[in-house]
Amino acid sequence: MSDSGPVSEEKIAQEVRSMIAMGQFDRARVHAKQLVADPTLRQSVLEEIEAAQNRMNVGSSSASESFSVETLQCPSCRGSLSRAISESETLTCPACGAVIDISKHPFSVLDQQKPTAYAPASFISLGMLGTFENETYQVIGRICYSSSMQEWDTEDNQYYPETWVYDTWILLGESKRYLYISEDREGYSLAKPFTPTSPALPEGQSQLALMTDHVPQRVIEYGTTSVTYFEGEFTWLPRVGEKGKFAEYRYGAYTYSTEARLKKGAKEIAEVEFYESRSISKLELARAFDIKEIILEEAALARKEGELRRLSYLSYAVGGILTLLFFGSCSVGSTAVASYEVDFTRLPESGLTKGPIELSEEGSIYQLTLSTSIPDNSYSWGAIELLDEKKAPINAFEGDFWRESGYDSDGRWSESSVSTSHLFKLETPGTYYVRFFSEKGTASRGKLRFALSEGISLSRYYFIGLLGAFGFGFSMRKYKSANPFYMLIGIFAIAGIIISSMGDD
Amino acid sequence: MSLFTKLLALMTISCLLILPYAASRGGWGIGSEKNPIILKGASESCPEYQRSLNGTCRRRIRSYYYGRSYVGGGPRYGK
Repeated sequence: MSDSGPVSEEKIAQEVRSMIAMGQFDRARVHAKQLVADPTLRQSVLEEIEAAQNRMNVGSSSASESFSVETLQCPSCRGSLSRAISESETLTCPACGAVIDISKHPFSVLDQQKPTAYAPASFISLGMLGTFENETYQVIGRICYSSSMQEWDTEDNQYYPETWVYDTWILLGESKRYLYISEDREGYSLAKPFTPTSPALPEGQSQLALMTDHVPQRVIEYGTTSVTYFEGEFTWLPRVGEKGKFAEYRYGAYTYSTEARLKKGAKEIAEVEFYESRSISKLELARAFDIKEIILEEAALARKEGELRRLSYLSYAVGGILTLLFFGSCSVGSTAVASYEVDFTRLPESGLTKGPIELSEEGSIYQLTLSTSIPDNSYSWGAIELLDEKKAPINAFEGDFWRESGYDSDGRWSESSVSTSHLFKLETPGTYYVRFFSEKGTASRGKLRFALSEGISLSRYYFIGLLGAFGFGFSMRKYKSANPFYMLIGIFAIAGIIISSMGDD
Repeated sequence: MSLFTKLLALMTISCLLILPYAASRGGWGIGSEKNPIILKGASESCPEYQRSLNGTCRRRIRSYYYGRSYVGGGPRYGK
């Protein structure tokens, strides 16, 4: 329906543009073909319709025709306005930002806003059509809020103050039901009004249950909201600075909230509404609005995230294997090759030779342990020479051993150092001997023990590996990026540090 | 994610498993049973640093250990 009689072609073109803004592309085409006589202008308008439809990729023409549109004129800039709901009382002009009271004639300008200062943060815009729960909805309005709230921290078990800004998109369905999409820097949520069986006002309570079958839940967020901007059409009169209160809690996959709109300049409640919401992904929204470009982008992103998730699971699995190997190498896996025990008080100064010991596994890692049992509060020194088959020394190991105890204000204490161990990799298999030496020190008696085991695994590398594997897996999930270059550089850096710290012997 | 990136990531994960296993079983950083300092000390009747100004040899059994040389070059103790 037009608001006036004969109109110029420019005026018709403006009306067509208004239809485009409301997503009514087929109707706009018909309107342009029937009423725009100038072929150049008609072609230009048709191309504009085509481009807008491609850009928005909104749903079918039958869906768009489900919403009747009344075309009005802005009393401020004389531009075209579209009204989708006959009950609307307030309309904003997308061109000049005027807030217009359309509840009575003549229309009056109530306020003036700056649309450019509050441009939508993402792809959603007024007039778009989307399908939610098998019903077509049209985006008819947007309200921008700033919120000052208390947010529950589950780790610290207390509320922390938080400020937040978000947009709420208002969607009207074919059956005149409303849906609300909230959009903030963390993502989107889809809310719908519901009737609570246990209604409550947002009064700063810490527990809340809006349904009688809900166990009272911790209020995760509560606080106040303030309207900073709005656009579109509304069945009430919103105003910038309008205050509200809210409280919400989670129950299963949904968030339930009680929201109160306050009267102007007063703390009295004008209206209370209850919403059930769930988070909704950008991909899900793009599918609902049938925006192919974003569907493709989000699908590619989801595919990449899936690949990263699988790679991170693989990395975690490798980390798990390395953890098992680490604990396994710490506790099991070695075989005793030889062990001897001598009384160090009876050792001759020239030493006591024991053996032979046959070492056959070339390249195998051996652990040599020298330990002693000495009386309390004494010290001693013990050593062994490793001899080749000709009984010539090829290596030597020693240890200063001591054991002390006493009493202090905390009671009895004891400390000791009675063993030492060393590793070597067998280069030449063959027959070996060991020669014991000792200095008994203050120990009146005691044994010096030598033990040799083979098949040792080095735990240190498993530990480094498991840190790398878990770190790589974690970084892929956290940063949603696999950067093997850095990981490889890291591995080589760690290997370089280890190798450079090795001695030449 | 490109095929190249995926291959690199898989290679990295494989390396994270293979390298520690090879290093652990192969004993990277662990010295052999022979210690050159001990071998040298044992082959000399009286190493120079053990000789007194009057020519007598101060060598005794703990002399090896004054050099404080240990097997291997990595961490001294443990695995």
